[in-house]
Amino acid sequence: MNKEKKYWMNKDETTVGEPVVGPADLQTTSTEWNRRDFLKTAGFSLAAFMTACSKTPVNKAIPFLIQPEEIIPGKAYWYSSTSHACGSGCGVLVKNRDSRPIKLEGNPDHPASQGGLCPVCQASVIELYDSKRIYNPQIFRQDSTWAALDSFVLKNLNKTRKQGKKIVLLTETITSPSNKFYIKKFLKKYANASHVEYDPISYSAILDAHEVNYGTRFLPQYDFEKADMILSLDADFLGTWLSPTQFTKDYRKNRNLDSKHISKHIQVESRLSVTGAKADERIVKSPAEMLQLVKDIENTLQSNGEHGIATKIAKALKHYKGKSLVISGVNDIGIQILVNRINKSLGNIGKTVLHNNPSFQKGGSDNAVSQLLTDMESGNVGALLIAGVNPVYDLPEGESFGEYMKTIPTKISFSGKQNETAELCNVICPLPHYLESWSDDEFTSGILSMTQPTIQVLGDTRTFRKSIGGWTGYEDGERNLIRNYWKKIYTTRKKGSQSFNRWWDNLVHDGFVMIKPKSVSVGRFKKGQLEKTLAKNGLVLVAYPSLQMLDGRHAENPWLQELPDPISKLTWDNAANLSPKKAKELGVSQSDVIQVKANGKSVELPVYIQEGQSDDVVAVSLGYGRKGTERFKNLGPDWIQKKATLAEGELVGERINHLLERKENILSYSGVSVSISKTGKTADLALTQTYNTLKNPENTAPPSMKVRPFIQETTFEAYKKDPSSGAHRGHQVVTLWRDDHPYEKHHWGMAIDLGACTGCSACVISCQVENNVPVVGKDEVFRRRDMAWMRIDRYYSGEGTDVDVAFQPMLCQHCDNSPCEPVCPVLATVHSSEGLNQQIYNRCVGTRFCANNCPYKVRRFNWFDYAHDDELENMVLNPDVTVRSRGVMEKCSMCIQRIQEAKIEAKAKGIPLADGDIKLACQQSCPADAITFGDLNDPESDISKLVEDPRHYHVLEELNARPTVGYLTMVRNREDENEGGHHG
Amino acid sequence: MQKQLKLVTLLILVGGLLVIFSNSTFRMPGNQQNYEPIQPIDFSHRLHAGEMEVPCQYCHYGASQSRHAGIPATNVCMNCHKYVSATRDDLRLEEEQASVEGRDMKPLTSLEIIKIYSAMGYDPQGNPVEGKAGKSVEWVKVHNIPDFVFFSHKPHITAGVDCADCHGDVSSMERIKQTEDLSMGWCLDCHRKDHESLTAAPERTQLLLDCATCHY
Repeated sequence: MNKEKKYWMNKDETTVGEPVVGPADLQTTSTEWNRRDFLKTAGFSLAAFMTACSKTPVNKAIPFLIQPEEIIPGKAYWYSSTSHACGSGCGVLVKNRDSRPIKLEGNPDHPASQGGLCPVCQASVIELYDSKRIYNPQIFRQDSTWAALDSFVLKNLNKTRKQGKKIVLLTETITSPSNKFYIKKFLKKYANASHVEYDPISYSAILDAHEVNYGTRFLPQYDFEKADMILSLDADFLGTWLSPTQFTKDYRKNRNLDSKHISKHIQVESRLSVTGAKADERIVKSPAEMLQLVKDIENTLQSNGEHGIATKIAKALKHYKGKSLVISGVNDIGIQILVNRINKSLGNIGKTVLHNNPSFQKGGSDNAVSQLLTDMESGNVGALLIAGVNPVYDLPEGESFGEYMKTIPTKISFSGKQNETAELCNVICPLPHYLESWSDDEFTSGILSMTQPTIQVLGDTRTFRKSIGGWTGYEDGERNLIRNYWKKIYTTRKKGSQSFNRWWDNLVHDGFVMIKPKSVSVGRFKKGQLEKTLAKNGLVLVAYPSLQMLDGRHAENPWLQELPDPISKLTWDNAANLSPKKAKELGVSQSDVIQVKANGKSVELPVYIQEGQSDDVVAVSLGYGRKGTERFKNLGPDWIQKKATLAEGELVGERINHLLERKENILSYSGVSVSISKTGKTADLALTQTYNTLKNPENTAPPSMKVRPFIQETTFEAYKKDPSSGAHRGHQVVTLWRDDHPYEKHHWGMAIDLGACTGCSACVISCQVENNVPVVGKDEVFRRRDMAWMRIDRYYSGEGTDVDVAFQPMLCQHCDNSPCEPVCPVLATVHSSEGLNQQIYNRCVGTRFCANNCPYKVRRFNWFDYAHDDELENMVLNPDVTVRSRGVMEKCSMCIQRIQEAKIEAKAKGIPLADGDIKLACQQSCPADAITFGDLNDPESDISKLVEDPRHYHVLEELNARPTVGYLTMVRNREDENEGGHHG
Repeated sequence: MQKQLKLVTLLILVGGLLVIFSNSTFRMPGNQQNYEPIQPIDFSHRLHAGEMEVPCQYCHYGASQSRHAGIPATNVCMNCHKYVSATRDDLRLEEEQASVEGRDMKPLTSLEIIKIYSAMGYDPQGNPVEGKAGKSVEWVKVHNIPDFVFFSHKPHITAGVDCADCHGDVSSMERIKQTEDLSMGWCLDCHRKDHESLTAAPERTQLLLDCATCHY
């Protein structure tokens, strides 16, 4: 590794290591008493006097009237279910406390999630308690009853049938077999009805390309575990593409450093994605260059031509014939046909690209949507039923879609939340949240996943299945609609010889069951014709689903809005990402608001200068500018200098879907030519990494040595030769501390594998949910007062398009010589007998000395009482963790509540704690298994072994704080740039 | 200025002395020792736990499994009170009266048990009433612990701590009363003791004195 390799965070590193400062009005320099001080003191004295004399309020204890047999108040129960947050269908375990779900975790047995869970799914639990959901059926915006709604709908559908106009059922990809069955019945009943599926983030080109190449429209399964060589063309498969949790799990399995070889991952992309950040080699190409590159690779594979970098890639692919995998996230049929050809010629079909049990996660068709738009324009559609999608927002033609809708007499929306499309419909059938409904889904052929309700339905809602089933004569309970369907057909699909009841019980208990896969008839491979696509040069738009927002369906989720983007660290906004070179060329700087124009339409966005991005690209994330986000206007604490999160009538971020265009009906996310003009305005970007950055001053280094970098890195080649390569070890630190803290019982420790971490931020949200970390709002983030206990530091190395990116999850390091502890004047932060740095809220008086003295900058101060006004939303709070009040410091507690619970459990069972009994929230959710936690006193524990691993190091080791959280060197599978790291 | 300060100090001193030597008991805010509120139903622990010797965990069965010991659901009361509707004395009296008057015994329900029946949505004889929904009894919580303290009954039951150690001699209380002050010092008095006496614990109980034993 290059000795001079230096990681940096911000271009402007002057903001590093600043003290924790308060609001300006708190920093008075005058010692004179003024009127305000007098009033404050008088008020405080009065309040203290009143508190001391007032009666303690009477608390009520209200038990159940009739106690459900299996429920004991205060005890957590876990139910298996399936996530419907993004459509990849991860199996989840739902933690249920006192009959309400409070936390989601990946189901370790489920083949898709394998125990991990993405941030979006983790955060989706708060949407259950959204008081602004639609809780009653509505006709013409008036609350109604289901009986009235049913008769209204049936009357209108019959009328439409008589008129001979089309009835169109517009849905997202239907993955539930029973839903498919009831839709089929519905289409049979109304002969003039048709079903159109589309995905808000379209994968249509992959399916269409398979139709060209194999004669059937299907989406194959990808096996990243078997792929020794991965070429990803703009597919963010570790972040947002298709099934990121499953892919991350599989990807990780083939990167086990103990084995002889690990997979090699080449990412070709135009913007910087988390997948690109993780890649062993990253090649930056504009969309036009990418198309050329794929063509060149295909040509080289066929005819051994010479095409520079393409030849290099082709050679590598050839070397791993049958063990390579080429994927592309570009929704372009030309590229996808080329990808199919490459995979075919490499013999990957059946090995890493599986046709036998295809994926049903995405099945939407852009062609069908285009057809629907034509139909609507010509006025042929008499009734439109919309479920699970929001076309007025999603589609580039959203505005015209809304206009056409006005001419349709019957518009029925199936939506749990108010959205752009639902507000144009005359009937709304509110859907329950997935945590309160039944569903059966086959996201992947052969795996039937079960969704079961984990709470009494909060409103008068019903599933799409029940509505459609009811309208076609299948009136039954939610559960029975599914159960009866499977009772009829289970013999044809079940594996093994269980009775139906047994089979069903297993399905509900386990959350999934393996069934006989539904295969597709794959025809003989045809090469297919490539259209002559004219690659556009010049500045083009690249629209991508952001890791937090995806297509925008979770825009009302405050946790996701405040989750910093893993790369840009931007919250509460989307921005126009420009490369530094392009920005300079255009004469714009960060935070300037620019106008991005394409196809005669425009949008105003703030500039974010993004390293590692193609110079010909403006990258903007989708999913912002959703109606419904105006609710966040007043989010954040109320105080005199408060700035509203949003201005009047403003939405969070900007919608850019209308700038997109279709190429031969296929929605194209990259490649629209844009022009940029300055507006002269500037915007406040709420970035989280402009502060709380770590610093290692040169003078902390031992004599004649250099300070050690935060990110230590090596290559796989060097690692094989010397496992300690890249790790800067061997410095002996002289300590003045006495070793008088024997940790007799346990000594908790953690290790984070930087080689595994993808920066996906699942741990950040998991920590937020588990520990009741408040949302503070855009203004507070901007004022550097976000409350995250766990953050992911993103470091760059190099400049321009050639940057390397490293992620480092940063949390309280639970130092054995904690710098925060000696400075606390009231002993509110002290060390436990098990090596944890404890923060005692009720003792803290808020001097903030500890935060200033923390070299890792992980302590967070409660400047305010953050909003907990919404009683329904408060149901998501974890009752085992205190909700902190104003004026106290807080930080990672190493999920002490989980440690305590495991200890109590072990004691009750009379057995000692075993390694792995305690899983911290961050560790549990990590799709890359990057986090290990355990007892350092147990020599057999995983953590003890990792501490002895030559890759293990501590951040800021020279300060001798002796953290118990350590990191493992990042290992990339690339050629050595220089010989290994320096030692000692 | 100096003079004023002296005056204020003197006033505070005198006030403090008055508080200490007055008849009223001085206690810290939040201390609810001897709290004995009136409950919606005159439930007698003396009768149930004392005289009838119903084990604590028959009703408070959450104690061994959860944080909360739990206030029993009304249907738990009904386990017995489906059959027991009045005191024995009242029933004897009615029996005698009936034999004197030469008639059948009238069904008897004591006033407090009627409250249970009406909570369940039953009539005063304890028979379900069609279409009448029940409503949980709203008990007044006696033993309150602040939100910043995590307390769990489970490990204490595991360790063999007797209920009466913290809750006092409930079996002699007509109305439930908080006998201890439930302060941190009081908790620590016990946590600091050598736990040899607690034999129920499988491994000798560790002295749990870390702040984060309870505060997180």
